[in-house]
Amino acid sequence: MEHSVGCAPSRANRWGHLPFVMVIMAVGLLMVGVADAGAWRQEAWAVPVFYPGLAIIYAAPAFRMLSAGAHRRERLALVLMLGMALYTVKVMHEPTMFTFHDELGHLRTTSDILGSHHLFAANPIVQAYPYYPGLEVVTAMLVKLTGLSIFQSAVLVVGAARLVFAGSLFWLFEEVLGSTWLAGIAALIYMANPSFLFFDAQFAYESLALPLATTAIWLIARWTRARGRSAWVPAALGALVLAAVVPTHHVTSYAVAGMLAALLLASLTLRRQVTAMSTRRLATAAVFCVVLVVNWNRGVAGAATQAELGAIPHQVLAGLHDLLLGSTGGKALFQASAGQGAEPLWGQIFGFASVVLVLLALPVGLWAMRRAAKRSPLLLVFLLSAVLYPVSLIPRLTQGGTETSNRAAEFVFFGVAAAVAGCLWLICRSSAERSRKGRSLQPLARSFAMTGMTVVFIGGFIVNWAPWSRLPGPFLPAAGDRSFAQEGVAAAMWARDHLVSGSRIATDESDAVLMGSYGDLDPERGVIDGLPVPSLFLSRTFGKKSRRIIVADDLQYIIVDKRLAGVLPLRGFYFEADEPNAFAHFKPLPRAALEKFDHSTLTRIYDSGNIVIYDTEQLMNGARGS
Amino acid sequence: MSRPLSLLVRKNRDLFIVFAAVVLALASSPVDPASRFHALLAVPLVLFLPGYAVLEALRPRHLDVVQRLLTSIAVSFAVAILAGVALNWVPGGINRTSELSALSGITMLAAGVAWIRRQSAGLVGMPTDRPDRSSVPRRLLVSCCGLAALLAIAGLAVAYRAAAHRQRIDSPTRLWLLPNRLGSNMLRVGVENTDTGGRTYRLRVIDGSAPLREWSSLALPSGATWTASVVVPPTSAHRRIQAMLYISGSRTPYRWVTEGGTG
Repeated sequence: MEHSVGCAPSRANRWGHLPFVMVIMAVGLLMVGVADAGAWRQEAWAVPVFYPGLAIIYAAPAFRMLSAGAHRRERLALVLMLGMALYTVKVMHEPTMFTFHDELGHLRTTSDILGSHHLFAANPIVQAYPYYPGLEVVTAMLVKLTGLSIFQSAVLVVGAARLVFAGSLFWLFEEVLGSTWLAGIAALIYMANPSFLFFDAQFAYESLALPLATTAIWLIARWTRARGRSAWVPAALGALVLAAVVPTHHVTSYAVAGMLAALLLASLTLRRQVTAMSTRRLATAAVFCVVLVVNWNRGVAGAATQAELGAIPHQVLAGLHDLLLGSTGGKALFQASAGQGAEPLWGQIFGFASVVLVLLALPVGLWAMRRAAKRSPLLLVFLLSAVLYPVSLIPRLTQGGTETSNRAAEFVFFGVAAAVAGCLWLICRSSAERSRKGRSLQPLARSFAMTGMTVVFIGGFIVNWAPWSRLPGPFLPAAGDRSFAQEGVAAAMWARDHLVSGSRIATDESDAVLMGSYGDLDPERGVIDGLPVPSLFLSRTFGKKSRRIIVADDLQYIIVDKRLAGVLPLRGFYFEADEPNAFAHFKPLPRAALEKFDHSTLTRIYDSGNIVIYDTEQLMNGARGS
Repeated sequence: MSRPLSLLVRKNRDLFIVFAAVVLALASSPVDPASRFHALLAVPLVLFLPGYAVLEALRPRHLDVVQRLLTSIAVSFAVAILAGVALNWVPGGINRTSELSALSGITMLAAGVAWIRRQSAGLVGMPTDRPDRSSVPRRLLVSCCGLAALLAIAGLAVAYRAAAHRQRIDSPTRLWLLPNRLGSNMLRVGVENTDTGGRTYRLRVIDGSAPLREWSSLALPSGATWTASVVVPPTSAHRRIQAMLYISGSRTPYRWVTEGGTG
């Protein structure tokens, strides 16, 4: 496709403008670092420095990548550098400790492996984590063999995975699109997906599973067209890497199995264009993957996976059903719960623009690549998966579907990237034809394309992350990762040192995650004896119902964070997403509701000013006595 | 070194390095597992060497240098994950010794196979790209790399410093009171000053309204922890012990905890 694009690699040197692009990207990184530092001190200039920094990091390689003059080596280097630069942005966000919910959940499983020397210990934060322990196994190995902390080891593991991801993205797109120009552009567009910057760079299983899955598919794709005696080598490597994806992340392993099955179907459909050997190899790969996934589910992870993922389709469908029937209003876009944390106008414009640009580019890209797709099952499957992008946006309109929509991005963007790259190829070709210079995308068209790609990148980040989560900063109550601060961590570490491991506790959402990870305690949620556990905190008095919850749920400690009083929860809930009035709190939690424990039969054993721990032993003894 | 031997070493330099790195990692492990030197050796043993050795044993054609290096990392991940899952069912489980044995064993075995395949096929080690005929002067490339690294490190350092400073501020003094395991008439009281500077406190322990013990000047530098045991009167059904911490000179309790119910 390279020559048909009119963007053939030039005779220019193989590093091209890389040194200059590298320095420009580094300036962007410095700006982001300075902005993060300012955000900790709540400086007003932090936000205006942060976004231009982020834009520079992305736009500089995008502009160069759109040039026809860059050699393959330079394109690959740009993709690797951008992958690592964006990972550095994530590390800069909080370079001293874990602050994302999922990171803390994986921290618990890693600690359990280090302590018990075995896998599959129950995780009170996310039930499925122990049954997909790939990431934790590698991290625990690094901790044990190097003496580094879990946090330091995690930064290294995810960093190495990110490097693999960037490289394998380029090579996979090269395999799919048959052009280094398109591969470079597609890899950059993939990196503009809303999950890439933070979500897929956190210490969580998909951050390792996606790079492995991309590598495995790339190796399998190479195998399908390999000839000669050593043709089995990519198959062996692909099988090895694929086998590691299955115990690392459920959704990624299902996606790979689905993709291989789709590839097989596409091969059968395009059998005139595809050799029988290639189809047989695809069938082998698909069967191998499905067998692994089914066996792992049947033997190890079935129940936990069902518990974690089983309710999601129902939640999304119920949300959509309610939305269509008008029984509940849709989610207010760009707004946190109870009208708080609204996105500024420019953010909303970027957010909408990122979606609209992709939606406009998709049909053009699909049309541009229609002929090539008839010859390549891999391209056909990628382009068909791009069609899922508009579908994946629909759940975003409901309260419960936002997370599903966010997480779908990392999968559907493989197809989106291929299609949008096709659209840019069309623009490039017409621009080249019009200019009659025959080779280069004109500077104006390049600038437009670069701006569009950068808008998709920045807008995607805005769409996926709440305003208060994008930059670091001091503690915010009931605000997700901004609620994981040092006082909570210190209390959790004190609990780990002084309380019995695995003790049952009740507390708010953020402290539950901290106590479940750093503290090695087991936070309890849900409904007990017909009463929601959060009502223990929401009522103003410590009465019979409170006692019934504590006794029936066998709660040993109650942990209260007084900073929740007097504020509305930014995430829509204080304790859990199913609590009474979740996403509809219009009055802040009264201080009396949290201070009532001071006038109860509970023992106040720990006080750090904002966080107080109460022991229920005396109440339990009384209940047992009676 | 005789000529054939030196040729052998030159052709298989990469495998020699792999062998040497594994041996060094094994040798340094019992000496000081937490040393920087050991960490430096152990990181590649987990994240690179097993994959590199497996890749060399399989000898994939048509993979360039960068593809081989990054695929080595991916395969190392796969080896570590699969080894870890397998070790779970071995007596002793996933411990330091079993991990070290598994990773170094797989690496050595694969490197051995790579060595034998190379000898029998008359092959040499990892291909290197042709010499760079880039028109970018090497000095410019190195200078730009250095400058970029410097800027990125500066950004990271600034962000790290601010985060670390904030975390120190966000961790105030804490007080706790727990039953002492040595006896039911003993309580353990503890104070940790996690404020940014040193502080002087006054700590009072009372039973109902009767004073039990008082520390009138408890000077704790930042980060220091202080604990003490308090003997309390024989247990009664209505015992209510309270520990109150004051900032020196203040009459309002700064922190307070109880034993035997708050209300």
